[in-house]
Amino acid sequence: MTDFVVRVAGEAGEGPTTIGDFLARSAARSGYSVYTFQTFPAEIRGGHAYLQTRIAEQTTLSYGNRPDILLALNEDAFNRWSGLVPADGLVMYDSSRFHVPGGLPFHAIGVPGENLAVNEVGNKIAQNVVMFGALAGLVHLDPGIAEALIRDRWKAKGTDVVAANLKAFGIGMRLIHEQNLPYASPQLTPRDDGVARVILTGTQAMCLGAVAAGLRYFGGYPITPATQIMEWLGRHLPALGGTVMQLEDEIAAIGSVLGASAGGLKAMTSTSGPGLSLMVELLGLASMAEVPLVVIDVQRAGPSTGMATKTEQGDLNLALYGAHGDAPRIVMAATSVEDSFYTTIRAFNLAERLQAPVILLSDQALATRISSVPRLDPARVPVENRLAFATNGEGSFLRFRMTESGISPAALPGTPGGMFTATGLEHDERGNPSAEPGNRTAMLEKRARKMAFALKGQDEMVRWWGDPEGTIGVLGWGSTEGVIREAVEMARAQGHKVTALHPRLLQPLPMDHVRRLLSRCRRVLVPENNHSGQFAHYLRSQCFGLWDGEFVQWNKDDGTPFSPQEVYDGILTLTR
Amino acid sequence: MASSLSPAEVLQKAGGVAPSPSLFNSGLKPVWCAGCGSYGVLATLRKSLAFLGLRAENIMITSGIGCSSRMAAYMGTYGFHTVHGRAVPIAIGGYLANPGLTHVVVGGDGDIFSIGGGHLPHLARRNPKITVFVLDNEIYGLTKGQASPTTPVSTYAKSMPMRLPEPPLNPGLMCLAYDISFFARAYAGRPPEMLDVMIQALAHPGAAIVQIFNPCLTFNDMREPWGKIVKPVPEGHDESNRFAAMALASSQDPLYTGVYYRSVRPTLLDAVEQTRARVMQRAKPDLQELIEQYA
Repeated sequence: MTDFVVRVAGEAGEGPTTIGDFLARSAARSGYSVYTFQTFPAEIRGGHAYLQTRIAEQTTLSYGNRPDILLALNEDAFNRWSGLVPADGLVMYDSSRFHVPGGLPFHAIGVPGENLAVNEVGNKIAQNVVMFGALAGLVHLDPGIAEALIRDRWKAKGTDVVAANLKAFGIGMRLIHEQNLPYASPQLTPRDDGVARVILTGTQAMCLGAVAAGLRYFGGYPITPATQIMEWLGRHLPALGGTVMQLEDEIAAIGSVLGASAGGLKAMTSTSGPGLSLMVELLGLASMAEVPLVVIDVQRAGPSTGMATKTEQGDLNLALYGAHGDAPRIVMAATSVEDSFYTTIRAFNLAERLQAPVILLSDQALATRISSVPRLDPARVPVENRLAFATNGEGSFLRFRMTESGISPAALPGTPGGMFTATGLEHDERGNPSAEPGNRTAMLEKRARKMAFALKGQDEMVRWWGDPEGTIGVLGWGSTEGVIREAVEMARAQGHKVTALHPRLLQPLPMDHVRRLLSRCRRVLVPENNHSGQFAHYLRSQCFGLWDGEFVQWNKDDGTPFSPQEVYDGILTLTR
Repeated sequence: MASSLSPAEVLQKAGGVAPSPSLFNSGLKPVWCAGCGSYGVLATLRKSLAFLGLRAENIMITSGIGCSSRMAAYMGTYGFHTVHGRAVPIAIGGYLANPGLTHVVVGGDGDIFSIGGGHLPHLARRNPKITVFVLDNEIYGLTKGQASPTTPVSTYAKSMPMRLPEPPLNPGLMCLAYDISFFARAYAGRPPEMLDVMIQALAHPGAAIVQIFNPCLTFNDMREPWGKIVKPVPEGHDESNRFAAMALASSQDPLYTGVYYRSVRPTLLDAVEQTRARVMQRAKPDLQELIEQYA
């Protein structure tokens, strides 16, 4: 065994995500590769939640298929998920809360977590830490590492709380160590490859990327599942000289970002689908007035309120097309926790380089995913800044000067000689309103042609996986990169010649790479976490007339991400 | 006695020699109808900025959509003529980027009080140093005469064939209820008084809203009625008394012009800097350390 999957499930508020989080972080600090998926209800308390962690000796690319170990904190969790546990798998459950029937097709271990918490620790709330201790004992976690996490988690609450939780952990762990288990629990060998790693979520990686890019202003409005970005930046950005504001709505949020960016700061907002919908008008202003900005959209299941805590890749159409008029903008999508860092830096670079809005797509699954990744290296993506107007003392500065590239030097308020009025009206080179037909066409063309410079260095904007000579193609986007890679390797292991292309830049699409894929593959699978196949439709319009092949939609729309098996099943449909 | 400063006193306080108002002229010809009150407001705005000794590159005018919002482009300063209703939050971003500049918002009654009305309470409670001039003509002029939130009830016009059913908003009461730190009214037909009010609003160290009665000669020529009912704020009005200011704002006849209310309190910049100082105590001040915390 080189990897195993643990699902910790129970009622939100009683600790399934805390236990899962401890498990993932302890395993990662012990030298394993981890990858999580968590899903939780929209309610503050109550409702079912689980956190699934895959722990592996080598880099793991997805949250896996079915759980080898289920930790069921209550009977509902047992009833929901025990059917997924394989014959050689195990269910650990709180035997003080419910009993499991005899004759189960898998192993089962009862741990009286709640009783131990009440009787031995003196607080029912410690049930989750008792259960974590038992789980840690079961999967041979280093107790020192787990205890350090526990100390860190509760140190702000004082030594008594830390001591109680350490005691709870020890009780759970000893209970497992002291019995003869009917079950050979997984024992992996931690990797020792000398690579320094960090353990973080997609959200944390994006925030670090924004800081690395030079973010100085964030204006936001709370919305699940994007709020953690605002919270993280609120904690850290002011100390770096930046400002974080919670505005009165999403329109004001992106408005303040436009104002701050026009004032010279690198600025961004983050939101989810409903908020992005509200921002559409001002995104048009950013295109028209050539103001750089970044909008991170942490997608959730829509439309309308949809399923606010569930994942989806459903905002692609809005990101690509949600505009009145011809409003060129960049659309990017982060593909993994590690990539969330580098792609966020690139998003700022493109905004600054092109003086245009960039929509950067993430999603609930990626934003909350905990992953161990090689230490983030800001030097890998050099930071770019907008083309600045050099004061020349002349009175007539042309802010929207017609250049070959379409990119014009920008002046910032406070600079003598650079005064101009930016406007959402069509305007001439000076910035003065103009409805002259010739100027109109020239300006539309100017704003459109600069987008081509997003493709400068487009090799960095895609990744290729699988068989370099593959004849079956897979073309996905965003958070599915890892699971697609894994499914491609499963298919290759069965002798199928499969290639995957995964762009980070979606608009403009790196067509050199897409063409190369199409030249080899007659059929290309397009896996997406949405119902209608938004990327597949986009690809069909972009590739119309380029080939006589077929983009085959492969959609999952139930609010959870693909498992490797599910993508693999899709690939198999192309092999027949 | 209202504690207003005369232009000369303001200039003296500023300690500078006022540059010529022609500095604040972009050279672009306004699109307004002949006789529009906005010409006078524009000239007075230029004059007031000149009195304050400001340089064109240090002024940022943010505006929305409507006849009056076109003013940004005529100023020869930095400007951002944006979208309908959003000038205030956009200006807040601009202020936070460059708090040392002079930030002015210009808009109409529709732009600021209708579509942008939801931003006003938040402007008031944040108190950035932004001066908002609302050119209130009680009508939507640019779109040819529809009802604005300040159009009187039962107004009949080609664009309101059903007679306007709703009573108007009282922007003065609204802004004072939101506890804006400076509220004043002016009448475009009386430029010297308007200049005084504008200078005081621009000199106020916080968010200021000035409602300027500004006749639209094409769709709502109020010169005659306004000329009859506007009167200076009474002698002895206590500008620090918000309830006295609300009593003034409640009056329909006379319509008082002048400074209703002002209070000096911490600005948004003060709050931001306080936060920064507090966060500095415990935050990780550089990127490498921020990354390191996840090791």
